[in-house]
Amino acid sequence: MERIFIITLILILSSGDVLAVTDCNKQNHLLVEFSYEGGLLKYLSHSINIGCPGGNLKQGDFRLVLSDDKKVIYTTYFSDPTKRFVDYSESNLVFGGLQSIENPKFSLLIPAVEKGKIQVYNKDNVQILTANIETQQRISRALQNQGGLFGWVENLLGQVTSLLKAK
Amino acid sequence: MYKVNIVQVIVIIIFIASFLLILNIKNNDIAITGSGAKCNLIKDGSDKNTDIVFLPYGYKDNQRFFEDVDTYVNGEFGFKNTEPFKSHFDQLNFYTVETADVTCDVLDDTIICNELESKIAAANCPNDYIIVLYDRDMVKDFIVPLRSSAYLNLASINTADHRLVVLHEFAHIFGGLADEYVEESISMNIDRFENCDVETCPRWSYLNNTGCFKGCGEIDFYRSIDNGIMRNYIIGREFGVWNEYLLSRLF
Repeated sequence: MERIFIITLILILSSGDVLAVTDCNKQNHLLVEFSYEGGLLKYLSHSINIGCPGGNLKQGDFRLVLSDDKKVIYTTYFSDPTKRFVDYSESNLVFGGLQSIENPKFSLLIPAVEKGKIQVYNKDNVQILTANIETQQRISRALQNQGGLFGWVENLLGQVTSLLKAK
Repeated sequence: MYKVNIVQVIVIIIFIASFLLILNIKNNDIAITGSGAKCNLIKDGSDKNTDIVFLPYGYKDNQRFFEDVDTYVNGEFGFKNTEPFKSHFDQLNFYTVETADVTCDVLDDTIICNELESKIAAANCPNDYIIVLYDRDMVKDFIVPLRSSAYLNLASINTADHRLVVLHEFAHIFGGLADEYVEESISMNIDRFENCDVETCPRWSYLNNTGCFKGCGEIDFYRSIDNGIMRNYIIGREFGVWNEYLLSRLF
């Protein structure tokens, strides 16, 4: 019996990589839409969706900070939305350049919060936008619980792992 | 008769369940199901990592898409074999969403994939950067070459171009590097692009194995490598010491 228990533990631990992989179906993000007109960044709208938010990018022309009443929840950078690099090769040379986009609309995926504040800073660390975010929608998780044997197994192992971690 | 208690039964169930899970893992089809689209883990890095999602456009079969992704990740001109990504390969995760519902347009001979659709599709996976592969026929592209593009954290790639175009575009979106070839249309703020400099190249002149070559986006700016990937990915096979530093510091 002890041997089976030890082997089971090894199997659980060896499957840790899988359990550690983020399941985006069990996460939410805010899809926030912006526009950039006449040198002004404008917040347009937001919606809450199932899926992983974008990561914390470390470079760009603008810094977005998402915070709640108490602390900063998320920070990321994004590049100038009015510029697009284009490239192609021909006869062993590369051509292209930097295209300008007039009045672009663009979106960012940020972590979902019930209530929070988005602030955007430029390169000079000057705040150029602030927007209050409130989400009261309920998320429908169509695929939250995987059906079938493997879904059950994964849920079971998740619970066992949680119990082991708790101890 | 051997009596089994409830603990033994639970342990046996967990043992069988674990075994079945391992079998499932071996299918290399690690299921991270999203809202309708499945995220496939292509290559797993460390915990502190950068997540790159490949999306297809115009592929008639998924096998070809996976082969292209494999080439861009593991091939001679892929992340795995090109510095500085080679040295940080364990910090890169790669994913695909094969059923991504993304549309791409061609405007002024430039491939521009829908930014919002790409982000929604990529959200099925952990996502920092998104690379949409636009499956392009070589012959068609010889007649009418299309441009790849890089916008925010999204790269739209012409697969008929040289394989290094992916790393070139990735260096735009990941590292904020500028093109080092000279184009009249390029007007740039030198403060924004650290891979270009003014005459005498004070930014990197202290570094060995760097140069100071005229022409970096604009004719009056200077670059650190004569023919690097940011200037000419047909001839150049490396980013060069300075550009590798600029990219490496983001890991």
